Amino acid sequence: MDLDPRQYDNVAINDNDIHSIVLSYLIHNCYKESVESFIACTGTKQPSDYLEDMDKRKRIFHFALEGNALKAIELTEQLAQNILENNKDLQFDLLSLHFVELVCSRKCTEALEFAQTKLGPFGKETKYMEKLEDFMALLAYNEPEKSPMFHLLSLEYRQQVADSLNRAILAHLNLPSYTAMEKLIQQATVVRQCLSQEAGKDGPPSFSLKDFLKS
Amino acid sequence: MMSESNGSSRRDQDQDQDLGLYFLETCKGREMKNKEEEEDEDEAPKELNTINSSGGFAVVSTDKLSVKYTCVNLHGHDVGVIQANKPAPTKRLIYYFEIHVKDAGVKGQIAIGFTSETFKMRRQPGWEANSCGYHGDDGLLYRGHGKGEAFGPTYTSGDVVGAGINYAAQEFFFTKNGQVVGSVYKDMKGPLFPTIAVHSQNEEVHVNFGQKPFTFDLKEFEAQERMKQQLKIEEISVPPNVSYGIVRSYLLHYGYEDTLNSFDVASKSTVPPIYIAQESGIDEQEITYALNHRKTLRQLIRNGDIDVAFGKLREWYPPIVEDNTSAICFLLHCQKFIELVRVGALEEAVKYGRIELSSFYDLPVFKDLVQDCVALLAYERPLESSVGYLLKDSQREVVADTVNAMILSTNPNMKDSKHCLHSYLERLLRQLTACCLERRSLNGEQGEAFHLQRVLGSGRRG
Repeated sequence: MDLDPRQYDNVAINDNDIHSIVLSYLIHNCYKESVESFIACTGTKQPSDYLEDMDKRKRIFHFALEGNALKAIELTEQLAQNILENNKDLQFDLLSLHFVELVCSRKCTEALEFAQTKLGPFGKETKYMEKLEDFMALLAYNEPEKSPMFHLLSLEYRQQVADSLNRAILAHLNLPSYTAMEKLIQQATVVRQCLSQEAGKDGPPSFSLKDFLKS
Repeated sequence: MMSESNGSSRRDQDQDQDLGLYFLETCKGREMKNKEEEEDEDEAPKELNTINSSGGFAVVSTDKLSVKYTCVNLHGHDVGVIQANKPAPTKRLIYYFEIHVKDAGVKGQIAIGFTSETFKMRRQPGWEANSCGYHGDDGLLYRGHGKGEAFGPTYTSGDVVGAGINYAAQEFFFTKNGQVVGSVYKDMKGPLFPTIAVHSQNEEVHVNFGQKPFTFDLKEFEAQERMKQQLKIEEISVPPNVSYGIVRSYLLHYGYEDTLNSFDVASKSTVPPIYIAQESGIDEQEITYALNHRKTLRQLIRNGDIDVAFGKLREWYPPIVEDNTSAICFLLHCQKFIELVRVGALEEAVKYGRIELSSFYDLPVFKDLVQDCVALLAYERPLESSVGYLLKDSQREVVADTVNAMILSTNPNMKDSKHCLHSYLERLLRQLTACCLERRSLNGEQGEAFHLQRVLGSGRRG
C-alpha cells in the first residue's frame, strides 16, 4: 500500500458500497445470471430497474461484437430510436464494422459499393475523412490482415465500438453509461494526481494503477 | 499446516490471531463509522453583526438585514462597514450571498466582499490587507491595497450584487443582476466574514443571506462547477479489462464460486481469450486457493449453520480452530449464541453462553462484543434495541469474511498475509477515500465532504 499510512487503515468500507460497485459492472455488461447469483450469494438489495431491457442490450452488444453491424443497428433502432441519428461518430463506427465484415469475407465489390453509398457521405467532414481513408486502404490488400490497418479487423476494435454503442443505449435509457467501477478508478487516479501535485514533495508518489494492482 | 517447531507455530498462530482480531475490531467500528461520515453543517451567517460595527456611521435595521449611511462622509476612515454575524461556512462547494442596493445615495460608494475577523471597521473592504471588496462607484476590485484593479461594471440603485467563495476552485467571484462579473484567486486564509459597506449620505443596502431566493442561479452555477471537475475525471482512460480483473478477483477473494462460474461463462465471449491477468498484474493464484471450501463455509455461515461450519473447519482446517481462545473461535461462538437468540431459544443461548463465552468476558479485546451479545437477552424485541445490529446479516458477513481470510492465510504460497484481508476493490476504494480526505485537509478542511455515492453516481449520461 503506497499511500500515507496514517489514513489508510482507518478508512471503513461499507459492504453495500462494494456490492453496488460490483453489481454496476455486471449490469453494465448484461451478465444476467451473474447478477442473480451475486444478489443471492450476498443478500444485496436487488436494484429496481436493472432488468430493464438487459436482454435486448445484450443481443445488440453481441451482434456488434461479432461484426454483424446491420443487425445491431436494426435492433438499436427498435430499442432506442434516433440515438444513431444523434450520434454520428457511433453511426460511422457501426457502418464501418459492416464494411470490415464485407472485406473479410472477400466481397470486395459489395464492400466498395457499401463504402460509396453509406460511408462516403461522412467524408465531407475532415475527421471522418481520415478514418474513411484508413478503411478504404484495406481494399488495396489481398490479405487485409497483413496490412498496416489490421487493427481495424481486430476483436479489440469491435469491442470498442460495441462498448460505445452500449454506453449510448444506457444513456438513452437513463441509466449510467459508465460503471461505478470505472468512476472509482478514474477518481482514484485523479485525486492521487492532485494530491501529488498539491502536497509537493511531502505527498505520496504519482498513482500507477499497474503498480497498485501488483502491490 | 504442519509447524516445524514450537517457535514457528506460535508465530503462525500470532499471525492468524492478528487476522481474527482485525475483523473483531471492524465489528465494533462498523456501526459507529457510518454515523461519523455524516457531515456537521457548519452554521451559516443569517444576519448582520451589530456589535462590532464601526462607531455610528451607519445604522442597521432592527431585523439586522439592512444598513443605511446616515452621516455625511468626510474622509476615508468613516466608512459604514458591517460584517455578517458568522463567517462563511467552509464545508460546502460554494458559499454565496447578495445585496440589493436600495439607494445609492449621494456618491454610490457601496461595497461588497469578504473580510477577516480583525478587519478595521472604518474602511472599505479591500482597502486593508486580508480583505477583498467589489466597489459600486468605480467597478474595481480591491484586494488589500488602496489601488483597485479593473474588474467589472459599476453598480447603483436597484442593482442586485452578489459575492461568493468557490472552495473547489479556491476563488472569490462576484455577480451583478444574476450574471457573473468575474472571479479572482482566493489567497486569504482563515474565517472570512461576508461584508458590506456604505459610505455616502443616504446610501441604503439590503442583504440576503439566503432567507430569500437569490437573483443569481446558484444551483446552476454549482452544477457547472461540478461538471468541470467531472470532465477532468472523465478524461482519464481506464485500461480495458482492468474492471474485469478487479471484479473477478473480488469474486475469487470472497469465495463467490457460483457467481464466478456464471461470470466466466458470460464474459468468455466479450473478453479477449488471452486474458491479460498478468498484464494488469492481478495475481489470481493466491485467491483461487480453496475456492470451493470457502464458498461452502460462507454459505453455511450466511444461513446461520454455525455448528456445521465448525464441523467443516475442524475437518478441513483444524489449525484454524484448534485454539478455542482465538478470535476466530470467539467470533464463531458469538455467532452461534446470536443464532440461538434469533430463533428464540433463550435458555439454550444462556447455557451455551455459560460454556463458551464466559471465559472471554474479562478479556479486553473480546469484552465489548460479549457484552453486546449477552445484552440481546434483555430485550423482548432485540432487533429494535441498540444491540440489534448483531441480528443483522451484516454480522454474519463479518464472521464469514473472517473465516474466509483465515482459510486464505493457510495458503503456503500467500506472499503477504495482508492480502487475505481485502480484495483489490476494497483497497482501491480505500485509496480513493483516504486521498479525498487527505486532500481536503490540505485545503484547510474547506470544500464538500467526501460522499462516495455522489462520487460514484455522478457524471454525464452519455
